[in-house]
Amino acid sequence: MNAPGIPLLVVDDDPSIRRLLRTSLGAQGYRIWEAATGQAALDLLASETVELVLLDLGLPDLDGLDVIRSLRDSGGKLPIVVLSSRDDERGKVAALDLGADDYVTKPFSMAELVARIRTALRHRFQAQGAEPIFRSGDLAVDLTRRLVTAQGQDVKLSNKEWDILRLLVLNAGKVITHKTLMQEVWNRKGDVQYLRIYVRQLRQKLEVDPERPCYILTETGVGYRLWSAE
Amino acid sequence: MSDRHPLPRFNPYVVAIAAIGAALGAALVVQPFAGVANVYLVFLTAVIGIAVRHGLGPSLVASILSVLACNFFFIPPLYTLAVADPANIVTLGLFFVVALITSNLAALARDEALAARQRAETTEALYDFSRNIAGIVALPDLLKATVRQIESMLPLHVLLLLPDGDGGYQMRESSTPMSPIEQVEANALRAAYPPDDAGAPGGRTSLRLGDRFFLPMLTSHGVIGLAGFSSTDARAILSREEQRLLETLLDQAAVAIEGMRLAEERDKAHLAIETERLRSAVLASLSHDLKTPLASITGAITALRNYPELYDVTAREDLAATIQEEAERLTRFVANLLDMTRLETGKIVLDRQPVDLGEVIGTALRRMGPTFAGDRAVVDLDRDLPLLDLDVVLFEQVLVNLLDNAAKYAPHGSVIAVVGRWNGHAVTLAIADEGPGIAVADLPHLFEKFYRAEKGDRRRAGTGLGLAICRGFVQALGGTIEAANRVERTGAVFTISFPRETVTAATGEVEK
Repeated sequence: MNAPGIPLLVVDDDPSIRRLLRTSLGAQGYRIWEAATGQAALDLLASETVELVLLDLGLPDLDGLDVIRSLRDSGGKLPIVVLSSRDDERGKVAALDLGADDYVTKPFSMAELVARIRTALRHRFQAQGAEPIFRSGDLAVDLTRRLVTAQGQDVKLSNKEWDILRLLVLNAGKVITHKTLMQEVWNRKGDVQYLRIYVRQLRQKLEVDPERPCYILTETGVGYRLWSAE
Repeated sequence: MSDRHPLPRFNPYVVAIAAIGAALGAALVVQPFAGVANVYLVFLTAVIGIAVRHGLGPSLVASILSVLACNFFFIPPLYTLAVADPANIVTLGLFFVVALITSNLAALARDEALAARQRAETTEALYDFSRNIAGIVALPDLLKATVRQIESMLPLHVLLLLPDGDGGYQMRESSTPMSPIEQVEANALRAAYPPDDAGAPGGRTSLRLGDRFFLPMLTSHGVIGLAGFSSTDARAILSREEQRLLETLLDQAAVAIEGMRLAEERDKAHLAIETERLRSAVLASLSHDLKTPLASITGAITALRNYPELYDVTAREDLAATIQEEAERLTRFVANLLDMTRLETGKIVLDRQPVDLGEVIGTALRRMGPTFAGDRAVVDLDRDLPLLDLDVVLFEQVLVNLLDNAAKYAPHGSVIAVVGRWNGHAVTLAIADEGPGIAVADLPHLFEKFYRAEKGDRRRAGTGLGLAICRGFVQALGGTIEAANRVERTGAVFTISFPRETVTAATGEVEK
């Protein structure tokens, strides 16, 4: 799928990463803006229109988190996909809690990055009304009638299981942090162990092999992501 | 000496008077049918009894009272202190002498018995102390034990000072009521006892500063520390035995402190050697494990760029796959090095959260990618496996390393079993492969850094760090990891156990 001329901003201090993204995302049809520092990114965003920001967390001047904060503080809903390193689960969670839409871990595969960008853009365009019926592989979820089928079988869910699945479906393809799930499903009063237990139950009901889930994917140390066939 | 014991219930002199009163009563009963001769024996018994129980002073009083009582009650003319018969004067005199000698002997025996008992107690206490401090491994505990011991055996408050490495002394431990060392005192001590001064053999001179006095703790190498004291009672001076005892205690403590010092230095030297060995091993491993993938990547890329027309689609795909695989290998290698560095520098901050083992096994398998496609891994977990409070990122890395290891050593297409069990006391997770197993000689070293079961050309690609990281992480999480060979067939099995304490406490109900 080509993305004719959708403008993206790449914020990374490493020229070779910028070059890689410019070339490969350019070939996908995106129009690429570049910034090497957080301040340059903010300046550029003030004057140019872009549809999405690819943001490295480790910038020389501002912390990447500060860039997210100042973008969100000014009320902007611009999708942000964070580029982070493997050991930085805290940084990922902090970025997502501040309002980043998703992340990829360096080193990333181009397929993964493109999928994240598409998901983030799609959720932006669909922000108003989600599709009433979600389908991904053998899983179908009817949000309005509260019906779930997996591998052709109707599945009965408890209230909490449904709340979790609904939130994942509404954000299909995007990572949802533990904190967000707890807030939405338990009103902050929950305990993370219940989240684990309910996700385990959900998987037993939805997945062919609950130990190797295909739909509800774990993002270690961060949260969950519903696999979306798109 | 007795003045330090709590007051006896009765004054010994009162007891002596009472005893002679009792003896008099008994003598009055005995005399009518046993005669005057036995009266003396009754009194003598009382005198010896007093001597044995209360020592010389009371027994002297008892002797005199006995003579007077005999004279008054039993020697004519009765009820006067006059003596009619000169023979009775001799008898009384002899009785007095016998009473004196026997009470003296009895009192001596008593004192010796007391002293012997006290010596035995002291010896036992010293022995206990030396045995006690021999088992101590940390210096602060040793100093605490020394202070406690001195306090319990002598009427002293104690403070201990050790060299501060700068020619002076630093207070390291003290009895609660002791005030800290002041600058004036510190200066005086610095001047009086140069640390490690080998020029003062046996020079145990004490130094008095205000209401405290100080003694050096000496070893054959000189002053190893100082001890300061203040008296807990009004007496400012210790008896000779007490001084000897104090010196013995300080000597024992000094030897123990020195032993600890030497062990510390030995450990440091050992660590330096170990670090050096590790550094060269790291360099060797780095040069091999970095260069090999870099060589492959460079080769593949230059081939693609320099001779694009030579390669068909399949060949290009092959070269590209090589680049990807080798880059992934480099990534794993660097990650391992980082993990090891974090472990060695103690920079691991645990983020414990309830972890579902099934879930983390799933993510580890997903991270392994195509290596574990299909049915290669068979996961078998108890249905009631509890959640565990672990750092999920660290634990996932442990699983990835173990799975990677299993995949590397087991034949292609063989099954790797992941089995989780909960027996109410511990959760065990076993990862078993169908490879050749582990040579018995390798088992004890398997978790050491840079140890690889196969040396030289036969060794598999890897850093030699994976299992060391596994052990480090598992231990940091409060678990254990063991390697063994499978019993029912060939193959290696790695078993991780987490004790009951690691299990997440359940806090409520779950709706199904």
